Amino acid sequence: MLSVRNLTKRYHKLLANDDVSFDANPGEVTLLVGPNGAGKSTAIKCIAGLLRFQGEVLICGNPNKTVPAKRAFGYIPEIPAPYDTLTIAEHLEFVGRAYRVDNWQRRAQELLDRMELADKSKKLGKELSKGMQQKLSICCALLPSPKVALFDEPMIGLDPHAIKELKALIGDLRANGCAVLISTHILDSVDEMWDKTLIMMNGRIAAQRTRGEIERTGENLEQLFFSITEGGRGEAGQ
Amino acid sequence: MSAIVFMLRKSLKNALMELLHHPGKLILYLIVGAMLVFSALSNITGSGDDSERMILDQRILQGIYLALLLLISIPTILRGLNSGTTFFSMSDVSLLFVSPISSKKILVYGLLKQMGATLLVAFFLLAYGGMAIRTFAIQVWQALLLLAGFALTILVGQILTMTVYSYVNGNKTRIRAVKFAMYALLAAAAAYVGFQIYGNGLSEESIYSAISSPALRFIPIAGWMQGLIFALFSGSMGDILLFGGLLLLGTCGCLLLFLRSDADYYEDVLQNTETTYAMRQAVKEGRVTAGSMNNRSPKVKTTGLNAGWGASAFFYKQMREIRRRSPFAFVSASTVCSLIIGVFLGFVMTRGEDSLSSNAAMAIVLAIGVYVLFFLNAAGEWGREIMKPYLYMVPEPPLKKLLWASLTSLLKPVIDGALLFGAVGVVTKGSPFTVLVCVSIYASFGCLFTSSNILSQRLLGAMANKGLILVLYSLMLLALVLPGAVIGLVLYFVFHVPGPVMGIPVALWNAAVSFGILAICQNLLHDMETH
Repeated sequence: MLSVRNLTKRYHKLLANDDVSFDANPGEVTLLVGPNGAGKSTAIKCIAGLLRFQGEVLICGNPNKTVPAKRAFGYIPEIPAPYDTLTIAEHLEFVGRAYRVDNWQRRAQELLDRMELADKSKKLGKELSKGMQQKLSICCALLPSPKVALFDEPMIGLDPHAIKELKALIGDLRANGCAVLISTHILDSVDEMWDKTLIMMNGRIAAQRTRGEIERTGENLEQLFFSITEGGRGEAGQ
Repeated sequence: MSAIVFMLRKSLKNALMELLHHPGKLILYLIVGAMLVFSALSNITGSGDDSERMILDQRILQGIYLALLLLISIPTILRGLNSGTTFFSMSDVSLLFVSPISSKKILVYGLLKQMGATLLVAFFLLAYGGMAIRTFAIQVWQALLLLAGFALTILVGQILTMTVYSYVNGNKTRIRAVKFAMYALLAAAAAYVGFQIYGNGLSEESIYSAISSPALRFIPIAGWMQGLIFALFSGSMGDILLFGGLLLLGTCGCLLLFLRSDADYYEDVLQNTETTYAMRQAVKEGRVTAGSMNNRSPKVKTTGLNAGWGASAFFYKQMREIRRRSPFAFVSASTVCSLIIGVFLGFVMTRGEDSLSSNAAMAIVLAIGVYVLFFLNAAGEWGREIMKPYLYMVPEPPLKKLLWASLTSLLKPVIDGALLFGAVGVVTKGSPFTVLVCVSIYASFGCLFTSSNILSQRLLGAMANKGLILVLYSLMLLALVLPGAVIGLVLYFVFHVPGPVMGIPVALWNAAVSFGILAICQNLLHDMETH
């Protein structure tokens, strides 16, 4: 599981994340939603170990920058960053070898088939469209079968088939006990797949709800989102 | 037009205000400016009169100047053939191009902006102007003329590119024809120089005469510019009028042709503006290095990493990328260029009346080689690797990742050095020991530059090739190199060891410092930030 405690991130004078704490449990999809500039991507990058921060991030009980933690999570960045002169197949070979994944070839083929990249496996990173880069990025992150998957705006740039397949993949991850954290500002795209939602505003978690709570109380998530992001209402500390 | 004047005025004012709001940046700019001016002035007013210091033949300056002008104009035109060139930014495209302002006025605005940029380039070349004054015993006004010619060639080259692009208009046959014509022109110039040297016998004198031959001044743009500048030096009115007129006619002709060919040039510049914008954004966001901006895709023949497990996968991945970019792996265009220049310099310096000893010639080639290596090093594989998230995320110990991911960057200077000094040693008839010492020093500087780059990541938090950080990086490098150099000098002056021997402590010190830095910075990947 993923456990974030008192995560604070400052860029000079800007407080991007202010004392953020939450858990993402195994077999659950947790959404991190909020308007542009709320601090979602910064939080995901801190969790992935790409930014310095104050606080604690534990992945399967290990601090996020340790080797066991890195082995346990997969990260799909908002802006895919493939190697220009490596083919799609070589990206997966590289990840398979670097992460010491046994039988990486079989898993790689399965992911390429699902993302409709199998026939393009000899295409170079620099020749791929934004959508194809995103698909490749998803394949690379999921190849080591992570226990925690971090998705930063994963649907942007994907075609309808890839969106459908990604949703199915996320469903499979959840079914296999993976803790999935998805950051997005488009609520509609992830409407049917979440178990817990964290609404971020001005670097803080302004509210959080489980699907059970929403169904029990009849509260509308979209209305709650807009009342917080447009009305300035928050329930920090919930 | 008033809207355009308003925009130019406001942009300039806002840029200055922005600078005033960031005093740290302003101070650094002032320091860099002062250092450039100081460097230029110290070269101009340096101690020792002309009779004491070595002054090179001005014909060498003519040859180098023409080569530099060709080097800045030909690649621009070749690149521009496929995608055009642009004076515009994306905000110009989205705000100005759709506004009710004449496209010709907008073109003038683009040209004015470009002229501002070229003036900045000329300012940064000030230090080299000072060097030219000292090395070739020219006057200050002559150095300024050289710089002005350089900046003007950039501008005229872009105007020519725009015109050529609008005429070839993406037509592959026409692109091939223009490329053929350009290569033919270059080949003819090279053949002319070669035949001149061959015809007059291989000597210092014949080389100087060939590279400064008046015939070369008829190469469009670069040759005309060289002709004009050196005619101004000599005060030859006929040549001034001839080459000045050719340049003026050429530039105005290009502009007229461009405007007549298709006043609606927006489509032509749009694609390039978008490409340039995407690249600038990518560099700004740290997704690519400036050195990886090549649009051409290499052919995919052999595939697969075929080796590596854990951290070593980084090395085999980089080897695949290197082989894909160049079939000769570590032997790249920079290797060939340094080889040609090194062999040429070695040959020239050890022939003729005032010839230098082979040791002195190799020391000069070494100094130039290390200087060039300093700039090339930041664009290496390590520089590219650090921009990607995998280096931080792969579950391996940081030191192992650091060593495997920087191994290709450490190996390249060893191979480059062996090739360069092997060849220069043969040409200058140097001793194998001197060759070995030069290779060791060159390779050790390569290691030092790579490891210092890693250190600068830790201390300065950004790549060393990013603008002003370069200054701090250079100072840090100087401090790291100094002890080795001092030990070498002490050995030479106090203990009177032979010249090449004083290079040994330099190489050993650099290597020791490099590996020391790698060991100290092993947690770099733990603490660093990527974007």
